Amino acid sequence: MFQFKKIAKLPLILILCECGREFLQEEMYCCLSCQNSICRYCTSNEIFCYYCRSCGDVQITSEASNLTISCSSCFECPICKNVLRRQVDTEKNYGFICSYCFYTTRTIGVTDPNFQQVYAKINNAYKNEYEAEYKDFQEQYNRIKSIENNNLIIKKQQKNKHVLKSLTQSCPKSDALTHYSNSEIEKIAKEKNLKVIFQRYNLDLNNKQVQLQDFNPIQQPPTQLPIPLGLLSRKNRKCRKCQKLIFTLQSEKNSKKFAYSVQNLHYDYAPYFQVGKVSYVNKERTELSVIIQMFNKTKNAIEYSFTQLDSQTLEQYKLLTVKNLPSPTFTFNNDNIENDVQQYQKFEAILIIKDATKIQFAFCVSAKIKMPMDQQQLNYNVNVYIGTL
Amino acid sequence: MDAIIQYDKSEFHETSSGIKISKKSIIKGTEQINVSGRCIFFHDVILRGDLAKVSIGKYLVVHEKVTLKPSYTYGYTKESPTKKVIKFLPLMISDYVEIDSSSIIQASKIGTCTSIGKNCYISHRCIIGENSIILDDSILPPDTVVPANSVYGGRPAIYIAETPESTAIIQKQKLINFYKNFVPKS
Repeated sequence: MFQFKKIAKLPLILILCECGREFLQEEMYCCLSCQNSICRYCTSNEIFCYYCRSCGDVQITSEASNLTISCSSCFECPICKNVLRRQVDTEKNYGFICSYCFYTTRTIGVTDPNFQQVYAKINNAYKNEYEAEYKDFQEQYNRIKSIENNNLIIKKQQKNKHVLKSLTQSCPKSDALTHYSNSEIEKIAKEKNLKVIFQRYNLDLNNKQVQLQDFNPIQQPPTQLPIPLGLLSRKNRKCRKCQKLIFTLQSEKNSKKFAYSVQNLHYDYAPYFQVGKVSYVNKERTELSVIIQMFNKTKNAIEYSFTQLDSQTLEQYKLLTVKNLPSPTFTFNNDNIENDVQQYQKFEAILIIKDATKIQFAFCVSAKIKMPMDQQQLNYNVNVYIGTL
Repeated sequence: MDAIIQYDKSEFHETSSGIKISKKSIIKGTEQINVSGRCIFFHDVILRGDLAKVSIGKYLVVHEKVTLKPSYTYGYTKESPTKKVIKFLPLMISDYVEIDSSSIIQASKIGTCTSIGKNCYISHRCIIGENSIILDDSILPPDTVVPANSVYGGRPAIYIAETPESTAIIQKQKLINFYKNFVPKS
């Protein structure tokens, strides 16, 4: 998933999750039952539906459970992975063409005056190409299964002999025999099944660099079949600890659009921080003053307070200490919501910069939201990055 | 705290609805251009409203050397029912869109809260969904459909990642603050 921390400009305000990762304030979620703000890695995803990224067709999970995780009407170019579009010849034969590298199905011979038969031709071509491999694989799979079943029988017979010996010779308890389970074989079989018939693209961007590609289509010969387009998924989010829903989707009737029925963002339950003026206090430039502004973007009133972090965490992350963190609790009432006037509260943090190389400081915040039925409480850490010296 | 950008009043026109256009930009066919308000057009921007209708939402920021052109198809018209003729399609840009410098846009529709990077080429008849990001130096081939909440990049541009649920909030704040901090020199 994309992270806005990479694009955002300094000064940055990031929130530190319990797992040690830092995100922007808008990217954090809020679990009301755990009374904590969590990041995307502390949530689990539940697939709501699959959809095609070019035609927008939606498949609900129960229909998609038959392992057809590709669109029936859209295909991808095997060379440049662009979505193919329809082409009509002068002889009125339908086919597919790529608008970037000009790959066509005409070179393979997959054209027909009836467009629906083009799909049938492509599917039959896949079956013929991979049928022999699939049969070989199935035979091997069956052979391995029979061998393992024989091994199990032999082990059971050995176990019975061992038990009889133990009864006669009053031996101690026998150790549990290790079975050889077929789950690994089934996993390999599933993976090969899917590779043989379909292709899927699942990209994880966690600590990976995506290389943007640049194709020269003239060099690559167009002899390959078009690839069925893999479907993307829309997901609901749940908290990993308490398994309660944080984000749920709702499809609108007779349309391909989705709306969120439940959404709990950190933004909606906590004060929003912004960095104001940054200036030196002394002529010697040993102390900085940073003005931090707090906004209330929720619909309810908030009470919040600050506390200092431990000395261990300050040393671990090389953070500067804030001299004058305010101790009392701030209250924020939303009186002027209708007037569009953004009220904010602020405090001036003074930092000592003598031997520092980075301007980076942090503090803890605990917020109480005065909702009509309950009083919810959130605890989280805020990190502020201003720049380098 | 976003950086304040100061500009010369003599270099920009400012309308009553808050549209700030550089005098060095080229805008044709103003009769067919409809802008909601609070937009910024930097210098060397080319807007072709003479080819087809252009409708633009609010809080659009167009950086330097961007060309905005309506897309086209081949089709039959009443005037020429037998021969195929070029037809220009209307261009629709929704609210809270940012287009970075030196990019060429011939899309038919750009959704809300999208950001388009530098040196991008978006070909004709493309549809860009809402809350999506197109990375720098990318080329979208013609007729591509970028779904909502997605990141596209590369040559040709392919689906790379999903955007978080709060992209709309981030993009709106960014552009509202940009417009507020774009201030004339006193």
